[in-house]
Amino acid sequence: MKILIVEDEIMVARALKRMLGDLHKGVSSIVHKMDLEGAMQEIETNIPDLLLLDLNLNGEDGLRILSDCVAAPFQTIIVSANTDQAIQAFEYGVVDFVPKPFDEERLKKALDRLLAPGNETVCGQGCAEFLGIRKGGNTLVLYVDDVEFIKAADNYSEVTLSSGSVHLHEKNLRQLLQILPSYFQRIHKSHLVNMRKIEGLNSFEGSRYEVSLQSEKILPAGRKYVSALRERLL
Amino acid sequence: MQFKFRLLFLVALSVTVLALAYVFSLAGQQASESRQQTVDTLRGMYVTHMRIHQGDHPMWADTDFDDTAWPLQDMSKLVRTPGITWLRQNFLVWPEYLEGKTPAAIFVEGGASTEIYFNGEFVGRNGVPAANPAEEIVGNIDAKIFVPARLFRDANNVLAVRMSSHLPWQHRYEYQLRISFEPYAGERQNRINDYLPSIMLIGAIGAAALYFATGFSISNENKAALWLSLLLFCVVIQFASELVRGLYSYPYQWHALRVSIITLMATFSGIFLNLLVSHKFGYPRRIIWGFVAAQITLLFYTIRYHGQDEATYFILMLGVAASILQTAFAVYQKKKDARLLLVALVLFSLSFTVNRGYFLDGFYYFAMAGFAISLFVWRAFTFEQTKNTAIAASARSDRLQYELLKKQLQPHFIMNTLMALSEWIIESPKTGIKMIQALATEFRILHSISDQEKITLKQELELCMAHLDLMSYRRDQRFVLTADIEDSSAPIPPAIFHTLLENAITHNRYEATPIEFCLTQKLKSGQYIYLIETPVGKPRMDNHQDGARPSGFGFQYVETRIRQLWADQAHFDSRRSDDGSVWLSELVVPSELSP
Repeated sequence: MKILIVEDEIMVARALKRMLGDLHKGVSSIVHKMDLEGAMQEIETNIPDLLLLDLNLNGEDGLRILSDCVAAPFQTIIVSANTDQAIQAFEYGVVDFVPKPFDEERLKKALDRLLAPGNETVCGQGCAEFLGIRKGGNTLVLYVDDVEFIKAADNYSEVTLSSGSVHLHEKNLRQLLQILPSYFQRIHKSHLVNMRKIEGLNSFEGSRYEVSLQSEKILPAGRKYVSALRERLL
Repeated sequence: MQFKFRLLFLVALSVTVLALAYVFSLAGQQASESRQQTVDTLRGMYVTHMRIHQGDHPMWADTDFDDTAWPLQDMSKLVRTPGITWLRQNFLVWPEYLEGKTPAAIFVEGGASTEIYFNGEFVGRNGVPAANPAEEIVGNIDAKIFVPARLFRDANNVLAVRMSSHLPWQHRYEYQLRISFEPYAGERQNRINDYLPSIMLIGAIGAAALYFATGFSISNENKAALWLSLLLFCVVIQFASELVRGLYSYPYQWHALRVSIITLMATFSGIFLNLLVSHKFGYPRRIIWGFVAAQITLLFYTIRYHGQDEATYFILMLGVAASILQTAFAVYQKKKDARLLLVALVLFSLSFTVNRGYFLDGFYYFAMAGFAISLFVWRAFTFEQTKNTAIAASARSDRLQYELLKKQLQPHFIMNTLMALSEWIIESPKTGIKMIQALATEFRILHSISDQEKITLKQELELCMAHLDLMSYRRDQRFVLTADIEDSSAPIPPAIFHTLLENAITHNRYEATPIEFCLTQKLKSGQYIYLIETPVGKPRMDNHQDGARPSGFGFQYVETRIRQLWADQAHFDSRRSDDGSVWLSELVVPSELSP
């Protein structure tokens, strides 16, 4: 796993490096950048798997990276003293907010959340309010409320909106589930659905299930996800 | 806004007082005109001139006595002479007196004891005239003598006055004896009613005088209240002295004393008015001596050549003129409230021209009552203002203290510091302990200065050093301050250079180490000139290239602190050096703190 640390406080960066080395054996590289410019350059040339981001970089606003990289395939954990910005950060789709000063235990919790086995998570863990879609050179912002369902497409995801339009997102289903709100539910190994758009759960002979949406679309539902779905629907 | 309101209020008040006084003065004029008419209808019996003769003889009261050999005397310019004096005048009377319908009253006003004879018959007396003071029964300043209608004749009527005038001291000055006729309207009814408005005015001015005197006794430093109360007390005494004649007909010998009190009070009013004005605008008190000299000269001249009423009038005018001069100068110097006061004084001075005759009898006191009311209002405003300023100053002081401490406790500073500290504890516990010491030192200094309005430059430098020491541990970089100081005891608001350094470190990314800051202080022509050089860090992505400049809260903090201590006498400026590598902040302040 490639990790990018964006932090203007050298001692904090040192602490992060040390803790990451101790905590996670799967780290292939750790890059440290002290300002926005360096961070953006690094993201462009060498996309990380995880971004550890400070929000106040010598007066520069770290949230600018998030707004620019809202469509990016990597996950972000905020490491900051400014806890009053946590809600805003979560809206951008960060996985966790680690307030300074922190210890290894707190950092481990954040990493655990990120690295939890994919199929164990069945509903949204985050607070993202919108998703960024890269279209040409621009980023299109989709409001998660408008999302009807999301289908896996190799390592990417296909996001279908209520309007019927379909967009490709660079994060995979597991990554999206980590940042989407809890009303997103996994109903199949390749499908997430917005619970607010569900019409009903239909069962067929041979333990076959389907989810019907308000838009009259039909999605397949995997057997292992049905009981959790049924619980939430009831 | 408030100034305009006050100005409008004072103008409105002054106009009202002027208008009131003008109406009163018209009424006064009408009264004197009607009195003149009455005199006319009595065919010249308003006695301006009488034939005069020193000595005493009963025959001189007779109607038939030939007085043509006696010289004619102007009644407004009698000269006090020892012994008995006789005055005679022949005249015609109006038919209504002859028909016996209306009895007449003779008014005798002035400085003598008199016996009045009408057509040879004794009609009344005011005191008992005598050739020497011991025998005289002193007459009152005003007297009214009844003349029965039967005594009037249609042809020649003769008024004869036997009089004496003595003062306890030898004093030969001119005095008046005014004799007039009016239809007899019975004894005067309740005099208090006639004088009620004036008594109320005295009450109002007296209350103001007491109010300001109390103000002074509470706070001895409030000299304005002292001069004001003395001024108003003088006005009250002067007014009461004027009024006493209407309420109480005193022995004529007291007259000189009463008139002198009036002149004296007018003189002191001028002195206190000018002391008040010079105090208000911070002019030295000794200028009053020049004014007093002018007053003495004027008094000497006017009393000698014009009489005491004139003296009082001119002395009051001199007082107001001098205060107008002072205020005009204050307006020229753009002093606070000077224009407002000038308008009030000029309006007041206009009153001198409205009706000079009526001025001392009434207008002056109306104007003074108006002035006292205005001062009350002014005082109320000033009190409110002073209170608000004090509250604001205290609030601002509290806020600055709070901001200073908050600045040190803001999450970015404290959390990053603690994070760095915890890393040092793991990497190098000894360094961790040193960092704790640095943190404690900075907090200790901050705590000891945060409630001060000013500290010494030495203390400020200690604070800066402590902060740089702490930041060196936090960033694992060396921050250095070189100081070139001439006077380390110079007063300075707390934590202003500290704020500039902190700001520079927070908003710049420094790569080279050590990072050098520089503070120089020069003492030049009564001013301290401080120059703070903070290096400009690596260019930033947000093009916010003035990172070294105190911005946002830092800038506000420095500005507010400087203004609090030096108001607008301090100059603070920040700019980038020509080569762009350093941010220069310059602070120029007076070396003496203004009181």
